[in-house]
Amino acid sequence: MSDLILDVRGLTAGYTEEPIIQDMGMRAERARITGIIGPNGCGKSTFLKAIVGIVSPTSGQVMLDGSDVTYNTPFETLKYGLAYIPQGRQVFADMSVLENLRMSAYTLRDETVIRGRFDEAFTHFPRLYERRQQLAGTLSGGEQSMLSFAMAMVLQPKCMLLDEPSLGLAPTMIEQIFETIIEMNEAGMSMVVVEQNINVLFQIADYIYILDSGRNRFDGNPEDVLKQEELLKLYMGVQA
Amino acid sequence: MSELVFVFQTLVDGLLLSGGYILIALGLGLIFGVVNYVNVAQAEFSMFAMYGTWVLWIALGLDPFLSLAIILPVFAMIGVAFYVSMVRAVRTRDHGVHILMTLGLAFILQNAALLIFSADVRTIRTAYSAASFNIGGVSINIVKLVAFLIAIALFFALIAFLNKTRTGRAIRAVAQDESLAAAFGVNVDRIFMITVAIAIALAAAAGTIMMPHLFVQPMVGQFFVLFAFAIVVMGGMGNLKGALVAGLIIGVVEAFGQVYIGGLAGRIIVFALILIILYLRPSGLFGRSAL
Repeated sequence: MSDLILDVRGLTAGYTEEPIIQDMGMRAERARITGIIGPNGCGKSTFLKAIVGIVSPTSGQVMLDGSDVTYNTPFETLKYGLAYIPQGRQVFADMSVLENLRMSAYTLRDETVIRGRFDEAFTHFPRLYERRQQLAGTLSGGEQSMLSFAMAMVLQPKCMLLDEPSLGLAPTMIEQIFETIIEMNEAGMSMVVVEQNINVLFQIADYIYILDSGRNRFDGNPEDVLKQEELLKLYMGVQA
Repeated sequence: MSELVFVFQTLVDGLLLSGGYILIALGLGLIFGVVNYVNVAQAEFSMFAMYGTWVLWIALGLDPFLSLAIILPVFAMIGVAFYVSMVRAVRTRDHGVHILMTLGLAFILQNAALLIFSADVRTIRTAYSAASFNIGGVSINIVKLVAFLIAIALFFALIAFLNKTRTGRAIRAVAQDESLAAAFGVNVDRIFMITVAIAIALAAAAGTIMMPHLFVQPMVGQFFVLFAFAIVVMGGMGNLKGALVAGLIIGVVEAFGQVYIGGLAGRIIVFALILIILYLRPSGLFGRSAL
């Protein structure tokens, strides 16, 4: 009997009448890393956005740790404990690192609680502490990634959805970000990671979903997925 | 009076007159930078605040500067009504829609003022209106000095509010990334409403502080709004510190223009200067945003 943190069933969603994702499902286990891969434009990002409510699903169900969060707004979903870290390292560029964290703690009122959460975030990312007075827009790409991680952590989510955390980062930065992901996972964080960079993902994920044209194509342990040579060649353009 | 003293006198006069323009421009820039809304009726709120100050003076004998305590909260509420009735529904539409709507509002407010107060020029002259003091031959009028100091104080209060308070930070966050702010639980609609309320209160403050040394008639807003837009454009759209510096520059340039070219024609050099600055720096002295 597996312990599910996130259970998505039959999710259909899109921006127009033509759905981008159709009848998609995913079961993410607690304290594990679940990976999602697929060719460009297969609906990976839309899938995550539909889960957190940025895109409204037309049908399906999203269960987070036993609660139905299907038609919630992104903020309500976050309150339930599902944090979404979008592509492109979204931070408030004209605010300092500390002010960015303050914004992520906007709904927390207790100053001692807020301080505690900041300390925790800074323990994870000492570099951010060094740069706490610096404007977020002047940080490097990797540091901005760390900041958006830290901002998500402040609300102590049960599960994090990461949309291509390696996108646009230098190789050393990618390594660092994935080390962070492993570290947080080892500390008990459940994670769902969408990636183009599948070589890294295969090393860290406990379970992998392959999407194609807005539908589930295959899922299994990394070893099982790696056996699907034809599939990997066809959709990822890589040699397994 | 030596030529040097005369130059200093003109400089001081220009600086002291810039306070009202700066406050109107701050409101304009705030609404534009946060709500992305263009309000060409901004100075009509200043005009009504001038009448409000005048009525309080005539009816109750209330000192014009003290009447800020009434004018500010009343116009903040008017700002809320303005947001709910005219901004909220068309906020995401084209700027042309905003301009047409608020231009219509400006005409309505001008004609309402004409109906209520007639076209007569109204002034407030307090007991201390003519009082002034002298520094090295440069005469400083008390009423203009107080108006200027209030404007500068309000500027710094606004900056402190935006940087040091939870609501102020949320206003800046919404200006930078509306959906990211919403994702962290900021009620974006409420932030827009607060921003417009502050902006209209600033426009009203401008009217009130200028009343003791200027005059009011229904069309007075047209002069102000031209300068306010010039300041906003020159300082960088939505850039508040830019608005302060541009406001001081424009006040001084206007004063020199009036002295050395004379009358309304002196204003030409204000707009000539803006053309030159925009030619050299198309996004204004300080660039956009940075709220």
